[in-house]
Amino acid sequence: MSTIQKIDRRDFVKLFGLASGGIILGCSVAADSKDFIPSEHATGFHPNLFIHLQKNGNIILIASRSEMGQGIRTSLASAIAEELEADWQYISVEQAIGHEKYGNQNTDGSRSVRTRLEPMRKMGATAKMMLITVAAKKWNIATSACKAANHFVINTITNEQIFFGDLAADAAKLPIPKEKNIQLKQVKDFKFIGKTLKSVDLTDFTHGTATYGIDVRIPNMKFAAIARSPVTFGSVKSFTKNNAEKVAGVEAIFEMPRLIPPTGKFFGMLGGVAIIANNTWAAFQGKIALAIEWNKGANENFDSEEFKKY
Amino acid sequence: MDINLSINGKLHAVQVQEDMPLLWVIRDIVGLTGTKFGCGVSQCGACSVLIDGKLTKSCVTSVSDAIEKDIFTIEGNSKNLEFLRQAWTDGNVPQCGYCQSGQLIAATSLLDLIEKPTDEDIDEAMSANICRCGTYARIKKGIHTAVKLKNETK
Repeated sequence: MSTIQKIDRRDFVKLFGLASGGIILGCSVAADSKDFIPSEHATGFHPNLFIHLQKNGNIILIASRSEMGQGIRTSLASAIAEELEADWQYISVEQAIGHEKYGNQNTDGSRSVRTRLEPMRKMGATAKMMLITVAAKKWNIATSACKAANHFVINTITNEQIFFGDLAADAAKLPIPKEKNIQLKQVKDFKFIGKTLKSVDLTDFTHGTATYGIDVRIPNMKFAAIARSPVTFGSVKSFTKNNAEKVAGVEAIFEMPRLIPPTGKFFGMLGGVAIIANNTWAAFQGKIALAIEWNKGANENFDSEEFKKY
Repeated sequence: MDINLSINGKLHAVQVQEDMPLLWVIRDIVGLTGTKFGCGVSQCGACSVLIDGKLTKSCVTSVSDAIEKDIFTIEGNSKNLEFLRQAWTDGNVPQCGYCQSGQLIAATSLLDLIEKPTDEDIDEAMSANICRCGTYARIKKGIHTAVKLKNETK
């Protein structure tokens, strides 16, 4: 955690992920400071890969982890809003595509909030400091005489205030503040983190426009269904695909081998037979039409009733 | 076969087998993905749509049964659905949201039939829509709120 204080700002993002307990991989792609703060062509300012404050005041969080239904898109947005002193209505979340620039996007083990909360808070705090720096310069006062609240920077001497969006372009030209100068809020002062917030996805949820995994559509996409062994860790012995091939819409049938990686059987690929079709229904019908003989393996004689006795 | 479907007031000409469930025609052929696949056997309600106003599980309804009828999905607009959407938003009803298309369609059907449903009416009308996040209490409150919003605008 403390190593972050020793780095220069060029490496800020790169080590930010490391120091946070997050993963360094993705951030190294963006470690180039030119990517980090685009200057000439900037339409807003990009303190890092994950948030984007625009001139109209909108703050877009790029969620690099998957949403599994617990609401991490809202949780992570709350961390940004908290430290930035944002107005919740300007916050939106865009789901990142799968890309190495986002680093490890594996979503499991309750790690999204555990590993991203502090980096997100620091990002919010960093952005706030940059906005305050710009405003202080405009008013020709010390940054300590400014505070941020509800999407505005406030001059505490005169009570003048400037909208975040109006400071974004100038803030984009500033260097990233040193991490030791970043101050995070006290837990007792939290307004968003840990509070009941409206889901950032409410409008999509109520209009059928939220994109779940099953809703993703890409050009020339096919639909697949996989027939799995009735016994855990079983594999395909043989199968007949004649009837499945006859199902209208079925385009290909593949055997999927059972693969066991060096890390052990639990993260391997389960065996099965995959049906590729031009729609989900055809894939399902094709799967039903398969005749598969399974190698049931070591679990073949597992007896649930017997197990319950222990 | 060639089939003409009317979905949310818009005509769609599709070429599908007549026994393909309406759900997959709506999702994979027409491309409206708001209607969800849950169980595929009419047990969860995620795939709920209205056909000529009648609440229907599209996963077990052949597309041929919807020919020349009005199909209404979560992407559609109706007065009752609008009040429900507002109530769902006010009450932060969804958690993961996956079942909520079906919940909202079932609730729309309920409000289309009963102007001011009681708790018992709601329990009965919504009993075929499962929510794994367990948002039932918020859903019930949301329906009452929608009725209130509707009466306020009268």
